[in-house]
Amino acid sequence: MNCEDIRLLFEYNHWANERILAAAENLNDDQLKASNDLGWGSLHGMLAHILDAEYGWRRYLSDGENAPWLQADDFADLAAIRQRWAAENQALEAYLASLSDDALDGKVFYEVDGQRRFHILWHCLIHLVNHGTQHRSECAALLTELGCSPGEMDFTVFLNQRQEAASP
Amino acid sequence: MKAADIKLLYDYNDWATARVMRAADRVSPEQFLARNEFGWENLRGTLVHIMQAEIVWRHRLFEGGDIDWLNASDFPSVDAIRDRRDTEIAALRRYIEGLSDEAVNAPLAFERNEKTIQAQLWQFLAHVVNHGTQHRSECAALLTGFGHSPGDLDLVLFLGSR
Repeated sequence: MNCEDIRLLFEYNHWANERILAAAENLNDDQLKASNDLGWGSLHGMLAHILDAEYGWRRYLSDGENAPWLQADDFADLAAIRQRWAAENQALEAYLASLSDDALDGKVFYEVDGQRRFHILWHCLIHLVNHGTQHRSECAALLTELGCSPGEMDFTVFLNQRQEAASP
Repeated sequence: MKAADIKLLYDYNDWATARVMRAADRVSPEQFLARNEFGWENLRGTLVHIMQAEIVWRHRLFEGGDIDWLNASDFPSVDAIRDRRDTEIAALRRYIEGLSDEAVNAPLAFERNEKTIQAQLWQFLAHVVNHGTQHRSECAALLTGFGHSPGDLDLVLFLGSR
């Protein structure tokens, strides 16, 4: 693995998050907070969960700290989620920019039932993008049911738009 | 990107899909075909769509050219999907196992929806895994609604279980 490829995957992650957030702008507060059975209470709760994973992992990977969980109740509305996410995006970008290719193969220690185990750093980073895709899919399904599909979120669609944006 | 990194992602892809299929074994025939609004009609259609992407991209990337799309109605059961996928994924895995570091970083270009996508081989291969995660999530939501959650599908869980 190398940093350039990891950063590309996180650029995709950011792009896909923005698509979901843009579609969610079309909902009213009741729709955003309507209860569902997908595990995070509501669309509002799911967005908070995706953001929480990015925040929690970034803190753990950068300073070994178990940050307190971000929860749906921490955010009054979509604007509050977006505001916090914008700050997290900057912090995550700065963290990714600080990594070297060698660092990606480093060990990240954690404990399970009193036993010390480890993950490889880049595995944790890929996990984070994959986790985002998993839950963005749930968000997309809910948004589509409410008539506000975020559109296609394929990695290839992102690559194509990125390429077009870079062309003169 | 290294060839070993891509192999790891495909190990995860198989693990996660197997988990979803095992949960799908427990649904009733009515649940298997119950309509939803997610875009692939029902659980069957969504499972077939995941396999479809693996087949189509294998053809595009390794065998040159496109292939006809599958018909979800040709698969009467989860077992029928699993049987087909076992064959298809084995063919894909033979290519994945044979990749070199140089090959995964080779530039390629494909026409898709009247646009040309230029990317390295690994980016198309990562797309297939990411696409699987996207649609496994839909399957997991449906399965959970039927009372048969496949459980957590996180990559770190897979890695911790190895």
